Amino acid sequence: MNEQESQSEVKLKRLVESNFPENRFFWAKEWKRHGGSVVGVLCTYVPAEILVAAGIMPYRVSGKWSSQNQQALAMRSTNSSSYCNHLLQSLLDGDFDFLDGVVGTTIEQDFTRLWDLWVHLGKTKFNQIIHLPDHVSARTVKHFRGELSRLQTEIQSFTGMVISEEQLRQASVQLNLSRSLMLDVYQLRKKPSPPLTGAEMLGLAVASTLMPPELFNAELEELLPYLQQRHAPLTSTRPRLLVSGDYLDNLEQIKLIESLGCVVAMDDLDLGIRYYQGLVNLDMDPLTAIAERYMNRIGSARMIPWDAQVKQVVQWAREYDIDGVVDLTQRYSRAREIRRPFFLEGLRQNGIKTYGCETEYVLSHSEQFKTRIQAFLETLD
Amino acid sequence: MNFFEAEYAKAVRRVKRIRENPDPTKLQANLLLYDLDVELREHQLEAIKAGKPLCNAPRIPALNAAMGFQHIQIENEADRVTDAERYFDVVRAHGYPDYHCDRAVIGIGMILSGDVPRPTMTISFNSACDPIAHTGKAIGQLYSENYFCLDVDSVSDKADETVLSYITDQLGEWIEFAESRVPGIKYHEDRLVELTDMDRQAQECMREIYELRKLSPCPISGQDVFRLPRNPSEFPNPGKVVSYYQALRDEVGERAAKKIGAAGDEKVRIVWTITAPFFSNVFQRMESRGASIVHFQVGLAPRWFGNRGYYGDEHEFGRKLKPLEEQARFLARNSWGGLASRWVDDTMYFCRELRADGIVNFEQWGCVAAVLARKVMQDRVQKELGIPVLFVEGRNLEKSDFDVRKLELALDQFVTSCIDQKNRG
Repeated sequence: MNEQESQSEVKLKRLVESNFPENRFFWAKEWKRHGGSVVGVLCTYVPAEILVAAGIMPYRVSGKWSSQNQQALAMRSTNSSSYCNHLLQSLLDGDFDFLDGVVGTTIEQDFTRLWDLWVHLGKTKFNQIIHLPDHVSARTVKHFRGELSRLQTEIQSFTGMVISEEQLRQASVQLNLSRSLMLDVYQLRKKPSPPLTGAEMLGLAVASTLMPPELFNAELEELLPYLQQRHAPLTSTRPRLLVSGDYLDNLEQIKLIESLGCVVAMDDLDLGIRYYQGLVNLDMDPLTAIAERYMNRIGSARMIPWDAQVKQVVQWAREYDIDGVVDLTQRYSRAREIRRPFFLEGLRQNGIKTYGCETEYVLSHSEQFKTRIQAFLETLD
Repeated sequence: MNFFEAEYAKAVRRVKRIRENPDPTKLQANLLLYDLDVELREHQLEAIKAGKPLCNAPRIPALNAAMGFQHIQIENEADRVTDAERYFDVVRAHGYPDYHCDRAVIGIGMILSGDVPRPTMTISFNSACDPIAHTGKAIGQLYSENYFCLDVDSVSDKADETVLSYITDQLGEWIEFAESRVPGIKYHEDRLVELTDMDRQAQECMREIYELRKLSPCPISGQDVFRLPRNPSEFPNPGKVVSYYQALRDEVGERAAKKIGAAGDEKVRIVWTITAPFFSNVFQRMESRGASIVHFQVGLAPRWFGNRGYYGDEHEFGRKLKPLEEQARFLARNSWGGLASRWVDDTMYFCRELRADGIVNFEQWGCVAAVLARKVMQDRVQKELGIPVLFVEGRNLEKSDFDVRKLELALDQFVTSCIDQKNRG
């Protein structure tokens, strides 16, 4: 490895590990240090464009990567979203005291209640929640645009500045570039020897949610040529898996899977391909374009129709030469749990081997997890 | 025997039992309701046998009936199930989680087992809570012939014309969809107006009863407070249902005038929230200790009894609503469906109105809407009302892993502590 490659590895590692507990607040605090505002984002359906257009850094909040979340559980319930409970613990521990605000959507009532608690605890000054329709039609997209307009108005009040259409357009350009660059990386994952492990890919995907988009774009643009010739440090490039899940920002689970001798070559993750899929149309009214982009992506399990979601995963499985799909549904992710029988059966009917594994945000029984995945991998031989 | 056959047989047995051995301590008017239940179940069985289109929908039975559908709302039917375990077995066998709200998830089991026929149409809705919304989506997409998804924006707590028209327009879309997909289905607005008016008349009686609940002693039992109001438009003879509600109101009025209360010597007044174990009358035990259950706080309570408009109300929007808007109104501002502040505000509203001395928050497994608002409820009730709240976990239909005895003991202690606190002033 020459010096340039070494430097690229360092850059890559820095991005991949951006959400590690010791790193995750770095860029946000740097932004604050330079006088900027940072607003926490609870959901991937919050349009970052509007915040960026206002000069605010959107910051996707993560949960505590520790099993200690008793204080949070006392306020919520043991049978509620593991991700939300760990996130609340982070909040209670003061990890997000630097945030100027929080924005969420009604993606799931569990998240709405997390937002409610966040506001009740009085942790941030600027608190907004927008309604997210659960299906796509001309009417619901129009309504969502109305919600975005309301959010824009509130942000303008908070910042004391008007957000122009041009600023929205420019923010869309920046975020579209992030998406295009990441989609280029996704294309590289089709290679028999992909440039990134699945864990590295997840780390990279999450990095963009923790940094100002301009900075992320510059870093990734520099890295892309290196990635085009890199070979991921994998023990095995077969079997190739697709991992499906939501709220997964901790690399451990994918690392564990790959340590068993396989590669997670593709994903169906809210922070992965679904986050980057689809560009904002720059040739129309910016807010409408943003509303359409966010609503028209392949949705999470909470959205309908489910058969479109299955079809998309089947298509990805074919494109990425996938041997099997692992569904990692965090316990008490209610929408995913209700969709799961249909989802797994739909994939099986399309000839895709699948394994549904109930998991948690922070894996507490890693040996059991490894045993189950190992058993599944053996069926793929 | 399918669910409706079982319900018919149960309804017939209940009427027979009451006629043979009437209990003078119970409301006599309820016998009228049980007679109406027999008629309803007979009618449903005939409708199913005749192949009448069945629509599984939220609480818009008048609209369903005006379209020519036979209305069911599967969560409400699930409340009546006494042998839920076999439906849970079906749910588990098909890979569904058995720890989502009982009354929501066993609807899937009821259909998969064949006890409830596959609906001709399902409308899923998200105005109340996620468990109902998600299971509606499953039933609609997987186990119904036709499916329509109704999206309700519940963020705003105000009477919002944008939200009203958003819902109304979707109901209009649904009407077109149903008419185009289901032979024989057609929207008759005059019938909707007629049925909505009967629903309004019935609810006026319930509001009068609500006013009587403010008296001490509370003239009706917890079991009757717990009974969810049912629209006349759900029944084959809606006029008779209106007569039932009028008789009920008159009887409760008489009890109030004579100061007859379910609790006998009423020492404290309790607001009960979310749900309760349907397989056990925990209220009777509380009443025997001097606690009246004065209110059952659920998603639609503010519409039925409180400070939100019901059918015909012109104050909420400052104008008279059109027929379809009246139905849309009913789907908006559900107490569960909005932010936690709405749920807590509504609960505290009723506590103030009914002079509650304590709240029992029965935390149904899987109830995301109310259970996860616990901390907000706890802090605000303590600060603004200063009355005790019992947060107790439980299940309304699944008996096997729920110890009713523990609940009863907890309730005994709670009633005692409410009495102590009240006596201390």
